[in-house]
Amino acid sequence: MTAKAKLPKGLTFEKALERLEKIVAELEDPERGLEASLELFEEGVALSRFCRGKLEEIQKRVDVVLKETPEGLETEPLDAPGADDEAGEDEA
Amino acid sequence: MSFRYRVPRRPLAGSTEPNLPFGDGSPGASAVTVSLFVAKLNGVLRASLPDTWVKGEIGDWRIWSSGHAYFTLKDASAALPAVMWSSDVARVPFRPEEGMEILARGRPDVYARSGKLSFVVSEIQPVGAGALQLAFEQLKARLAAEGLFDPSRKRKLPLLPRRIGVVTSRHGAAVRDVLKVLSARFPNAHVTVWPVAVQGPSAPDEIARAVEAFSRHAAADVVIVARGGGSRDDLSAFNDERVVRAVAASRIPTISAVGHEIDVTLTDLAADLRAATPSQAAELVVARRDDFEGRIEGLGRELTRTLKGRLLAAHADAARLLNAPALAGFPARAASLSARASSAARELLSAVRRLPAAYRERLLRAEGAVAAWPSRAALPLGLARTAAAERAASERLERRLGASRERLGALAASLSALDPLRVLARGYSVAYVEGAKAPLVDAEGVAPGDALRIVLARGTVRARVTDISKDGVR
Repeated sequence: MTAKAKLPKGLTFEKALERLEKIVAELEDPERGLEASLELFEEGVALSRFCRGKLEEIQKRVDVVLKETPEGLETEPLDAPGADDEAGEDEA
Repeated sequence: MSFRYRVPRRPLAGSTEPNLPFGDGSPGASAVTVSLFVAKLNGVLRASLPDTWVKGEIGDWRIWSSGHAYFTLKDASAALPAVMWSSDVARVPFRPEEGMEILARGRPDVYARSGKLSFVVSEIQPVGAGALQLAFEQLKARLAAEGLFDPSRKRKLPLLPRRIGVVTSRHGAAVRDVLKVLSARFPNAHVTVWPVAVQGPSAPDEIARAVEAFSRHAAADVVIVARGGGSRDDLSAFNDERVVRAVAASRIPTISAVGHEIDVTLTDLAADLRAATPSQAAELVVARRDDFEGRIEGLGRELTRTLKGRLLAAHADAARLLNAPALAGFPARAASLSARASSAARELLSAVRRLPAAYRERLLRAEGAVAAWPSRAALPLGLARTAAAERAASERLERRLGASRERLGALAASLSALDPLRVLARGYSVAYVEGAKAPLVDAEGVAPGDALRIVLARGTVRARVTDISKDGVR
């Protein structure tokens, strides 16, 4: 099956997962016609692909804000976390 | 009683001793100016009543545009006008209010221009609770009245934050804990740390600015405000109005992780979620990546399972449809049509073997179409996709069968027309030169005396050519 169902623009992970859950529930409905079921299935496959993509999309990154600029935050990667953390700090 | 004003006998010069000008009969000599008198009076008051704590109730507290506060300190039977200079007012952590019982430290002072006495207060404390505690309670009540802590204001945390902001001290344990927990739960998380002081005079401003900037630039999907490092007891920055307001106003859902089990800070109350520790905040901020994957995979499996179920049901529907009384006979007719087509094709094939090349090609094409027909007859099963609309499907099935029948009829007609046996039946015959494979079509192909084999509708005749004419039939 070519799951090229159209997903709305600006879809979020939450919304996609929510919709996917709803589709699974709707597919259980025996009253639903096969044509409609197939469409739902295709949408579901696209949604699950979308959700996986969102999980992959996030890049592992740890950065520190240097300053705020009119355009946003200027950051640099956090260097060697833990290396100089111990000196004289009480834990919270 | 009359009062005689006497001019002092001699002017007062250089003496700081109290010099009462009402001694003898020459008042002018001992008189002092008003200014001097008030100055002396203030001197006396200061000397005999140095900084004194006075307990009383605030009446009519007013802060003027100059920043100085004017109020009345009173009890059941006495009142004392009081003033507090702006620099001292600024150091009062709580808000003095009418009727509040306080301790005021100050000294009496006669204001030279008006001669009025006031109590100049340098410090006030609430009676009972400490000043800071009172300040906390007051701020809490005020912000609560504004609705900043309302549960209805709490925003939902995003399920999958693309970027997590952390506002805390650069080298405290909070950063370490958050990163440690996140790397175990969601290894590819994107974390942006905004280093701030979490205690000290600059802490409130730094924390508030960081929270505001994250919100202003939408630079994170969720922000953790954590107290990592710093004194165990110094929570004041997290009770500061600026910080509380910044957290409440932020457009980004915020988790507080001030890390104090007993005291709930105002930041905790304003935050969308309160975590006991920075580690817990990291746990709240995003589910385990494994859980997400498991959930999506599970849904995918469900999806396939339910669809399979639907397909099986549709298949059953289609089978039932074909057996429906309305359609009775159609499958049988389809089968008989298809059998007829096959036998027609077989006959055709054998006929074609005996036909010239041009005919053969044409007929082979027709034969292909006929041979494909039995599989087309099975097409109505594809109508299963519309099984829900039983009537529509049956109509479509009938249309398809009708179309196929027409096609078959047309083919059969053309087959009949081309069947050489039929041509012969109409009185035509085919002549071959004895031994040749191709039929004779041109008189020039033979000479008198050649032996011919003539195929008729029934039987074959052998003959010899006696004469040749170039004229055709027409």
